[in-house]
Parts: sequence; C-alpha cells; structure tokens
Amino acid sequence: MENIIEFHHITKRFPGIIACNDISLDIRKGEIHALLGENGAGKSTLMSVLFGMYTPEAGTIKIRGQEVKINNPREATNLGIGMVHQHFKLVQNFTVLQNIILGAETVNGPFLDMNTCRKDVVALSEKYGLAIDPDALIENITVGQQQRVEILKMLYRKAEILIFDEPTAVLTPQEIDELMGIMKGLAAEGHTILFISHKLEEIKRISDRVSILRRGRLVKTLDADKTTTQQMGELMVGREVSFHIEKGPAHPGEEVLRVEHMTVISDETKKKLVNDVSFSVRRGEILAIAGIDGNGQSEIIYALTGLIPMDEGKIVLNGEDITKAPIRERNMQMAHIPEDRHKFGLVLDYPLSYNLALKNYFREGFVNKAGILNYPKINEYADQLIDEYDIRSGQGGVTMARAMSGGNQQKAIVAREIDQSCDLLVAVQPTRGLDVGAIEFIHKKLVEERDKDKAVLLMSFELDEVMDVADRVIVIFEGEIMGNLDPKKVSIEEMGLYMAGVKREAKVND
Amino acid sequence: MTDKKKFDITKHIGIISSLIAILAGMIVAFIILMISKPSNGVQAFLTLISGGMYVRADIVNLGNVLYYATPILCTGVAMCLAFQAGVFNIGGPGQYTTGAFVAILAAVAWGQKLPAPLSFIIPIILGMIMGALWAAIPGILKAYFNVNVIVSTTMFNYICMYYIVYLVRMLCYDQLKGQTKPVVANAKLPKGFLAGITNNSSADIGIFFAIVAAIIVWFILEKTKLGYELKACGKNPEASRYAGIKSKTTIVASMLLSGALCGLGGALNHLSQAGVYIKVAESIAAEGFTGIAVCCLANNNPIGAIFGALYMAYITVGGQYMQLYGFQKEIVDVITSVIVYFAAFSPFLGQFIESRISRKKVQKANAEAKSEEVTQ
Repeated sequence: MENIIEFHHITKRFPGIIACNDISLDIRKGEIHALLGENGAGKSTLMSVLFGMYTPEAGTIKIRGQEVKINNPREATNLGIGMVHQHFKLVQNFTVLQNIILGAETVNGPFLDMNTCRKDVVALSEKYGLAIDPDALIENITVGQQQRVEILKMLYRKAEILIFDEPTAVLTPQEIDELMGIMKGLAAEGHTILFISHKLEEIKRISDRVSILRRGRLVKTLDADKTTTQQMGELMVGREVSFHIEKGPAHPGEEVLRVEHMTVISDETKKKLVNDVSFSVRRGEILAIAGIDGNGQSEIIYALTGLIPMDEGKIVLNGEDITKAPIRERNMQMAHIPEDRHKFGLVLDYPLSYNLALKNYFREGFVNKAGILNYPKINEYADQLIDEYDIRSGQGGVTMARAMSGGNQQKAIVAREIDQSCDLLVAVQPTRGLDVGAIEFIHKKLVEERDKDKAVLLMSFELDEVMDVADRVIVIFEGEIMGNLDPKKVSIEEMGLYMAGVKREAKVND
Repeated sequence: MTDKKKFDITKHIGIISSLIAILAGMIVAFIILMISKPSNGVQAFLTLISGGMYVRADIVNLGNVLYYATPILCTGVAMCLAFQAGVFNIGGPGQYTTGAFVAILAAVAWGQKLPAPLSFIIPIILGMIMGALWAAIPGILKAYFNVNVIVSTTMFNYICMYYIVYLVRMLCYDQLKGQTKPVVANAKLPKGFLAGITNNSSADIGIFFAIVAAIIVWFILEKTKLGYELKACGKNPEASRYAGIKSKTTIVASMLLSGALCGLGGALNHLSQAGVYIKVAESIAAEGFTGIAVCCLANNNPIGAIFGALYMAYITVGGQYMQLYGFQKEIVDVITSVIVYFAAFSPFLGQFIESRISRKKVQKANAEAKSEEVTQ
C-alpha cells in the first residue's frame, strides 16, 4: 500500500519542552490510523504541524510523495487535509448548509449559487450516510449532528486526509457507534483517517494501525488487531496500568447533601434547563450525574455551587439550608472541581502557588489579622501539594498557571479541592482531557475520599468513568432525571438509552 | 543549567518597553520641533530633554519637577490600582477635581483656625474622602447594575466639571479673578527643607505624601489579602467568584481607593505654595488623564509610577521653556501629548518584545540541541 503522508524526523519545540522529538511516521492511503498518547505526548502537536498550525523546527513532511511546506491551515486544505477539532468551529446561528459552504461557496458572479451548493451538500451527505437537515440552525441540533456537519465541511472541501481530534469525547454510545460506521465508510471510499484518542477500546475497535507516542517520541506503531488494549496502555504510560479502579463496596452513611425540586429557568429562552430535580448524596458514596453535554447537568452544578441563582427548590447541606448562601459559605463545606478550568478553576495569570491558595488565602495561617498575606506559608503549602500530587511545572510554585500543560493545571485544581477536605466533593469532568495515568490517579483519589467517609458528587460525560467510579448514577435528559441506577446492574447500552431520553424510570426522584 | 548571574531579559521587559516608548516619543517630538521651526529645533530639543537645565542650569528646575510630579503620581497610582483590579477608571479628572474642591473649601473655611499640620491634613483627608465617594458611584453602578465603567466615569468627568463650576460660584468664589478664593498660608503645604535644597522652587512636602501613597498601594497590591482579591478579580472575575470573592465589594473597593488617590492628588496640588486655583472654566483637569499615561509607563506598578510621574514632570518643566525659542505654546502641548501617547503604547511594546524573545529562545534551544546531537 502506498504512503499518503510521510513524516520525516519532525521536531517541534516549545519553551522548556520538546513536544515532538524526531518523529518519523508513515501513514498509508486509506487506513484508519490512531494516535495514542498521554497528555503532552505530542499527538495534537504533530497533527497541528500537519494541519499547518505550527511550523516544525526540523524535519519534513511528504504528501503523496511530494515534499511540502505547510504554513497555514488554508494550505493544508488545498493539499486535501481536513481536521475536526475537539471543540467544533461552527457558526451557531447559521444553518447547517451555510456552515458547510462557509468560505468555499459556489458563486455566480457576485451572487451565491445556493442551489448548486445545496445539491452538492445533499449528494455528499447521502453518499457517506451523514444524515443532516441542511436548513436546521446549528444551535438547535445535537452535538453528534454538529460533528457530522464538521465532517461534511471537510468532505465539501475535497479533503482526502481527515484528522479527528478526540471525536468521541462528547457522544453517547449510540452516537459513537454511528461515528465509527461513518469513519469506516469514509476509509472504504479511499479517505485516510488520522484519529487522536485516549480511549483504547475505540482504537482497538476501529483503527487499522495505532502509533503510540510518549513524551514527544514515537514509541511504536502497531497493527491494531494484533495488540491488546492492555499492551497499548502500557506502551503509552511506560508502565503497567489498570483501567478499572479497585474499590470495595460503598458504605453509605448519613445524608450530606439533599437537593429538592431544583428548577433553573434560562434567562434568554425561558426554557426550564433544570426541571424539578431532586436527589441526595450520602457519606461514603459516589453519586454520578450522567448525561449528554447540554442537558442541564452543568446548570445543576452551577446552581448547587452558587454560581447561578436557582428559580425554585431547596438545597440542604449537612442539615443546613444553603439555598441562598453566598459562595464562600458554601465553599466551607463543599469542594468543587469546576467543569471549565480556565474560566473558573484558575486565575491563569497568577502563579501556581497563588492558585493553590485560591480557597485558603483568607484562612488563619495564610493571612494575619491585619490582612497581610503570609507568603512563606503560601509557598510552603504550594510545595506540599505540588509534591503530593506530582504537579509538574517549569519552575515550581512561581510558574504562571497559563504556562502549565492542561493536565497539570487540572491536577493543581484537583489537589486544591481535595485538600479542602470538605464533607462534600463536587467533581465536574475531573478527568477531561487527561491521560490514562492521570485519570487513574484522580479516580483513585475520588474513591479515597469516599472511603474517608466523604460524599462525592461526580458529574461526567464519560460513560466509562461514570460506570467505573460511581456507586449510584442519576441520568439527566433535557433537565429531568430519567433514572436512578446502580451501575453494576445496568449495561452501557441501557445507560445510553436513558441518556438519549428513550427510556425512563417510573419513579426517579428520591 | 541556568546561570543565576546572567541578565535575564524576560524579567525586565516592563522597564525596557517603557524606555523604548520614551525614546520613540522623544524621536517623534524632535521631528515635530524640527518641522515647525528648523532653526531652533535642536536647542529646543536639548532644553526639552534636559528638563529646562539647558537653559538655566539651576536646581530650581529639579525642584519644580518634584512639584509637577506630585499630582500626576497620585492619579498614576490611582490608575495602577484600578487597572490591576480590572476596573477601567477613566474618571481621574473628576475625582481629582472634586477632591481639590473639597480640600479648598475646608482650607478656606478652617485654614486659619486650625493649628499647622492639621490645617492642611484635614482638608487633604476630606479631599480624599470626596474623591472616593465620587468614584464610588460609578463603582456601585458597575457592581450592581453592570454599567460600563469607562462610559460612566467619562460622563462623570463632565458632570463634575459643570457642577464644580456651579459650586465654586455658590460657595467659594473670587469674583475678580473668576476662580476659587485663595487658601491662607497656614493651610498650604510647607516647603520644608525642600525650599533650601531646591533654591526655593515650587516643590513642597506634597511629593512625600504622594510617594508614601505609592508605597502603600504597592504594599496593598502585593502583600495583602485585599490586593490578592483585587488582582484576582482583575485577572479572572469568574474564577474569583468561584473562589467566593465578593466581586461587587471588590469593584466598589477598588473605585473607592482609586478615587481617594485622585482626590489626594487634587488636594495636594491645590494646597501647594505655588497657589493653584479651580478656575470657573469648562476644562477637564489634565492631571487625571496624565495619570493613565504614568500608569502605562509604569506597567501598572505603583513603584514604577514614581519614576513615570517624575519623567512626565521633567518633560513638562523642559517644555515650559519652549516658548523662549519662538515655539507656539500649543506646540509644547503637542509634544507632551506625543510623549504621553507613546508612553501609553509601552504595554504593547512589552508584549511584542516578549513574543520576539520567546521565539529567539526556541531557536536557541534548537541550536543547542543540534550541537548536543553532534557531540553525541
């Protein structure tokens, strides 16, 4: 089989780190090639180099045998390379059709030739089984559908090499199955697919070959059907890993948190984002909130932690009504690993040490009675957490949070919040974008907290995480609880039906 | 690996960019002088950059620098504090003038009755309180009704300008001169030892008030819980909210402090020995806006503002001699404006330098890595 892409000795450096170190890799035409690696292993950087977003310091790329220099994404597009980013790049208030043709419109003089565009797009969608409604607005369609729009965008630009950056992170199991089907179909039509993922099962299922990267170097390229997920995981991390968290049965104790009839109404649309949701979390258990992104889970957490007001309902924490309590008061009894680490979790232009003190700086020992901060104490505390949680940064505590990798930023937040040792730990997408090693670590910490008789509320879009870590799961669909389930007693597929709103338990609120 | 003794340029980007901004401003000023009067351009420029000492090598010029630096140091520090807290207080002129007015009122009323230090300290304190209160209104509007601070403070400058004219006429009017009544000598800031060492220039102890204010603000921002919260809100208001910081209180607090500093500037300037009055005229106090330039030159650092204010004052003193060389008075204003403009540009310069350095670093790392590979 001929090689469509050849990377020769690609090296890309950033200040302080070598993101890609002398990577040489051939991609065959028509294959599905997975790139696997921990955070900061260099997979995204390598793909960004291919898509023209970074220029490598050393090395060359050959496309279809020709040596090329790709300076920007436009040149990449002209070479037939397309990319679906992890965060979609769509215009929310444009229709599907408008988004697909944007920047590549068929024109008739100064006018748009929408009829031809429409015909082309519909033909493409039928050819590859990518069902879409060309006139639907992006803001009204599901994430899975948006992804199809992104794929059609690439195909419309005649891309032959398709890069997918963690495409399954936001999908339901059923949608993942569909996507896999689509990807296989595309490969069968002669497209070459490069696929970045952390999920070993998926890679095994769909890819022909898999390249494993570790710390900027290519470790090995394997045939996917001749390897096991265990092997892949070990090569990726460089040591043995366990995918399933070891945990004993839960011993739920007294109730720590009780949410009653929580309702949150959107300011803009007046829609009920959260509709009469009631649940409770007890000591010594991990309750997970599962569901597809955008079904009101985020709003439940925001209302619970005080970031947005609640329209109706009541929150009781440790027997105390905190429905209207200010955030600082809630923080005293509730640690919170927020969903968006850049928006909420960190002050990016503060050093790591300041960020680690974000929930402590006002406490005794950190500040004296005159309001003067105790910097030695803040630094000492930071060093302690950095050590305990293995937070890696260029210059230790004085490193600006902005200069740290995403995984280490997340570790910093997790360290800070777990160290609050509150009765309730609210962990929202705690492992988003992290590698297997870091995920394992954070899951262990969550279970440890549970075993210390703390209550843990976990919200996650990763079904594997929910199934693996939680003792009890509530599934949210369109702001309502669809089921209150025991993860040991339901299958992933069944869970998917609850998440898609197809199935619902008769009595769900406890 | 890292050589501690080596000069690390990345740690001094702020200062370097300020110096480049100053230099660029000078060059453009020189060009303007040469165009408007080629025959005297060079001498005029030498006077400008020598702070007037090219004309009269007299310590009096340096003393006057201190005098002119006093109010703009206060407003500059006020801007540093507000900008670090993420509040774009453009209301310096208004806060400055309200502070000045209240200080004059108090000094005129009680200047003779109170004993010496109190006779000016009490008016100064009242001026600060007034500046703070005036600034608090846009602060409250921002915190509770999300009114844009830039818009509200700018409008407040005009409200203040007209209202003060009205109040001067009502309460403290010297009809002959069309300005506030004079402050009695007892309530003016003493020159102290500065009179002796600066050959009886306009310098008075006000400069020490201003420097102490700068140091206090630096201490608040860098060392205290309040400063930690102010800066956190400035850098990421959402994360601050998440951490339980009351952003509403923080916004109001930063406006209060910033307004108090502007009010201090107004009070110090109008209680100076030089005799400064509020004129019944439709003009906005330039000291309030110059504070923004000082703050930009200082890269939002209150200690840096001391040097920024001294520089701006130095240019002002030099500029006063421009008319000697037959330049129109307006040209002086143009030149100082050009310099102010370039000063305001220095943060962008800083970012530019930073990006160039990081690119160089990457290249250097590559070169090193290559040579390592060769040696291996």
